[in-house]
Amino acid sequence: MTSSRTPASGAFQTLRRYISWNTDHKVIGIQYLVTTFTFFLIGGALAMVMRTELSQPGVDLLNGAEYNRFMTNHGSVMLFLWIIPVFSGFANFMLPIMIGAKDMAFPRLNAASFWLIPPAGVIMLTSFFVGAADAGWTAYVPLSIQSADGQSLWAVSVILLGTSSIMGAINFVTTTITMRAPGITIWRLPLFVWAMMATALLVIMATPVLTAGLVLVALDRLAGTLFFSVEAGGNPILWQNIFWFYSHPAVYIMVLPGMGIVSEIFPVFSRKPIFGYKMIALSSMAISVLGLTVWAHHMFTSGLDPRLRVPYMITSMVIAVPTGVKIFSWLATIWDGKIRLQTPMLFSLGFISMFLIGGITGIFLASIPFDIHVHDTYFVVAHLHFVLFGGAVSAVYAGLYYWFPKITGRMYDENLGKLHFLMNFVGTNLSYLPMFLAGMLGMPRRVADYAPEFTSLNVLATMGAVLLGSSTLPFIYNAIISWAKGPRASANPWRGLTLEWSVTSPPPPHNFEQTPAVDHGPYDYGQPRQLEQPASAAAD
Amino acid sequence: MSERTTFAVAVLVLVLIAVGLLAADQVNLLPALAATRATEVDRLFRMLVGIATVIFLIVEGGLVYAVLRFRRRKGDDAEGVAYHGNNALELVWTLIPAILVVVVGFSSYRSLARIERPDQNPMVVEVVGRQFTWLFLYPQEGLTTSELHVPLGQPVRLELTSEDVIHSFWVPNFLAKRDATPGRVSELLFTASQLGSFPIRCAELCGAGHAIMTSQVVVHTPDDFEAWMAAQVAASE
Repeated sequence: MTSSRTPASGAFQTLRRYISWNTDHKVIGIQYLVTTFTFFLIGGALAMVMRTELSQPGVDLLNGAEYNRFMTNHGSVMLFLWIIPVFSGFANFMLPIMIGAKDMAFPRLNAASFWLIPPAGVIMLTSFFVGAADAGWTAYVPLSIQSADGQSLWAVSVILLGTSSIMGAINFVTTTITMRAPGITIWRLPLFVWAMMATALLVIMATPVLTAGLVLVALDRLAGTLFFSVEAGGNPILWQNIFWFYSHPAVYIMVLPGMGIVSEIFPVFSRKPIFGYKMIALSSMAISVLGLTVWAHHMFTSGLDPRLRVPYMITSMVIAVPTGVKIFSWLATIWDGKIRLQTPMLFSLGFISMFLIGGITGIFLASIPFDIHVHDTYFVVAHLHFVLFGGAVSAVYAGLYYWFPKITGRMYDENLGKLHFLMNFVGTNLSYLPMFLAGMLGMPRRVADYAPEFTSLNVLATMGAVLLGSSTLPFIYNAIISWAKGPRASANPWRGLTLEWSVTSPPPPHNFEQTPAVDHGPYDYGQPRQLEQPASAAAD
Repeated sequence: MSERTTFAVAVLVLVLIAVGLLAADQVNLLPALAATRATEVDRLFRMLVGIATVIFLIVEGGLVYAVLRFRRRKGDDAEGVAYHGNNALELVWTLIPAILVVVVGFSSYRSLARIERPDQNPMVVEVVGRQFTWLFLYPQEGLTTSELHVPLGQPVRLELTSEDVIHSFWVPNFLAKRDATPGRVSELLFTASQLGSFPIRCAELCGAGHAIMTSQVVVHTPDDFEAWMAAQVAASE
């Protein structure tokens, strides 16, 4: 009988361990990572169909109604079933080890938070059989009240996923506050842990608001209530406020952990301490708090009281300051370093380069007069894909390659990794740069068809999408083959100083033979210290 | 910093400013402008492009330079230089973006005030969005059309609403957009500055026909507009 605390090791022989209830944070972490990556591929497949339709003007492959269903589910799957929960996967595996703990504070809650995801995903995708949700991931009313039955299933699915997210956040916060090993003071926490704290606070504060709103929508659709009924005196703008109050912080939930991951990678691959540790840590918290104050920048053309818009423009621009602090600090980290361009580093550099474009165009969007022109156009589609795909997904890949040896006990193939990076970098830029132009020149978003003048831009975007879709192939092949038969990885192939590198690859059942005692920060590179690790990270 | 470094940085800064100004002047990414307020938005856009170009070049340039210059040479297993921070530098790269935010924010605010200053005696047209068509009501003449006809140089105030779901009225050539929301009336001001016919597109997902919910703004000379209006009124009697 398999005990519920069986540890993670040798994936294929013990496949059953990964598809059953297991309270070990390392097993749960792998369950999250594999499940969410599968949804990434599904969301990507939906996008490939959309881009095929959009490669030519005219409605050929999908009619307007079908396109709306594909588009809605592409966005919803990517956001709620991939990019938000994938970081729970990383945090699950790494966070306890990084702070010297044996597991999460609440192992059963942890397993439960994972197990909400597969049924939620099934509910969202089987909605295609009853008329899938088609009002965009934003589900504006009154449109979403009128949608087919699948829209209700969509709401149920998102409620389940929000619950999973909140449960995970409670675990991360409690674990970090109460289970740190001796010597791991607040200012010695790895920046990935800081990032997860900032993220978890946002999840806890903002997600319940969306859940409440979804309940109201579901009641209007199913129980005849009139919360959003215009005839009964309801205000459609109410939904926008409720929705964006969560969904703007959500985008920081999607990117802050990624910033934490690249903060781990830059020092290791430059052989220097992280530059400005405290400011990077505090900037994560600043972005988290500020992120709760910007939401109405999604509503500048909604006709809300004009006086209300300017404060949101200000907060949306101010958030660029802590973001800039991070980018400059990362640049200063690699400056004067001994840079190694292995795949984790390549994806981290790609992250900065592409997130920058997303961030700069975010300032354009924050400026109300310009936003009035480009709101709800392909300019926004380009912006969001630069921050989410060029940004967050690059950081996910960076983390997957970086921690692959630790999680699987085997090393991936570096040449395939570099090929993946190249295809991903070119594909992302080719897909989304033309979209900025299309939006500025007059192409709205969420359209199955467009005026012929936008054809060449759309052809370029579709070519980029094909490249991006193909780029996942070397990664999938690499991951599977290396996990099965790759060379065995040592405890510390990257010569890192955070605690996960002080234990075997993969880690033993309770992570540490004895609780580590730490007396230095996690980024003390560049000093004359012995970097071949003994079993614990104790001082010399 | 050494004298040589100071000089090099100064030259670099001047070059970057020049490139930024050039980008702001030369950028041509917006549609042909056909409304008076669009010129103000265009000016703001050029300023944003200039600043964005400089920031982009500094960061991406710094990234590329760092990767090339500080790449580990074969056989070099030494560690990098062990500094943890520099308060002066961190202050500079916090303050300068903060100042830029103030500049951009203030400029945006001023542009916003200018483009939303009400006109004297505008011509009022009521706009109704309905899945999947736009209707234009001229209240004085009691006329309803499916295209928006206006005279050149005449201030217009659109009063927008919807009969069903949220739509959004967008004229790319005017750089102007406003949502049409059921149960509410929103307002959009413009004055056409070019003769011709300019697309109207719906910019808020409104159902299966969202992509084809299009119309035109037709800008006439004042005399032609009178003639058009007279003909419409005659035809509807």
